[in-house]
Amino acid sequence: MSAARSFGRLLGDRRLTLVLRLAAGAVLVYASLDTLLDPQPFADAIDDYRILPLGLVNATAVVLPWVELVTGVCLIAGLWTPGAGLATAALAAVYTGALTSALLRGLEIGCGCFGDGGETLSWTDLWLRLALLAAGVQILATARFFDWPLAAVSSRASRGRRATRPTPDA
Amino acid sequence: MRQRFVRSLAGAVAIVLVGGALGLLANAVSSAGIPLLASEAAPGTAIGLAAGRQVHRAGGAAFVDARPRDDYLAGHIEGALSVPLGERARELGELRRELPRTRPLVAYCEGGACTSAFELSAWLAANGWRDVSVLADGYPAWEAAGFPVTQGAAP
Repeated sequence: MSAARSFGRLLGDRRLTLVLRLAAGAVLVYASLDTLLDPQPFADAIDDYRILPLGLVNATAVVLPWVELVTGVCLIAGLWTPGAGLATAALAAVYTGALTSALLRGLEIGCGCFGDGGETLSWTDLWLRLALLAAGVQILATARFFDWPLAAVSSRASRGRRATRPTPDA
Repeated sequence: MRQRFVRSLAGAVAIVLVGGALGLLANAVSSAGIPLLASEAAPGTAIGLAAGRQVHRAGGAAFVDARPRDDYLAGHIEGALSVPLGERARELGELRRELPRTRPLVAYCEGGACTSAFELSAWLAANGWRDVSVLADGYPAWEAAGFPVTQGAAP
């Protein structure tokens, strides 16, 4: 019982939230970089999954890397943090679903993750998406809306302003 | 708890909207931008010289030359890739790397009664390219019209 309670405390620990935020943010920013400015190969990778109709493939390839980037930056900077956690969980859930569906259909395609396309998709590709999903849920549940480091910077700035503001009777 | 989830949802929607807007903006200004609506054409769909020139000028499509390599070296549509029928199987891997399958392609040969461009378009479509049309008038008409051509191997 106490082991379960301490495990629960660990899950809610804000230091864990910070580590997960930085790790998930780094993964999302890194994943977005290859495809940000060259969406055509990413459109190919999305098309290979044969899930979206062709009419939605290009728009998805244009928008998705930027949503990943903004989500990752928000996670790292501590801005809209629970929202970024929810977006991370949603992205990871979509990727997990797409990968699982492709693997169950026996498609021999590249993952399309991190801009690669060389290696064929395998079940081991699922782990990172599941970890990202878990991180997103933890962040959604525990993070503050305005979190470290931005919150620390802004509170220091406001303390600084208070310190330098002249008092009325000075 | 419920309020927290609603605020998180609003934050996630805001992130998607900001990301989406940045993506659309970047795609609009980037030279590697793509049309938001991918096109699809049944293999062997023929286009005329004027339509071919328009597609070439717009720059979104890639031209593929189905003629023998020597003919390609002697002169080809500017920017076209050489995919002679005899060598296409060997080149599939390279083509996959060079030509995204969601990018429109225009195949051509000598025009007139030549069939290699139609065969190439069917082969490309069978290998996953979504939009492969055929410049029905072929290379001689393109060259005669004074449209951009180059000689030698592709850069």
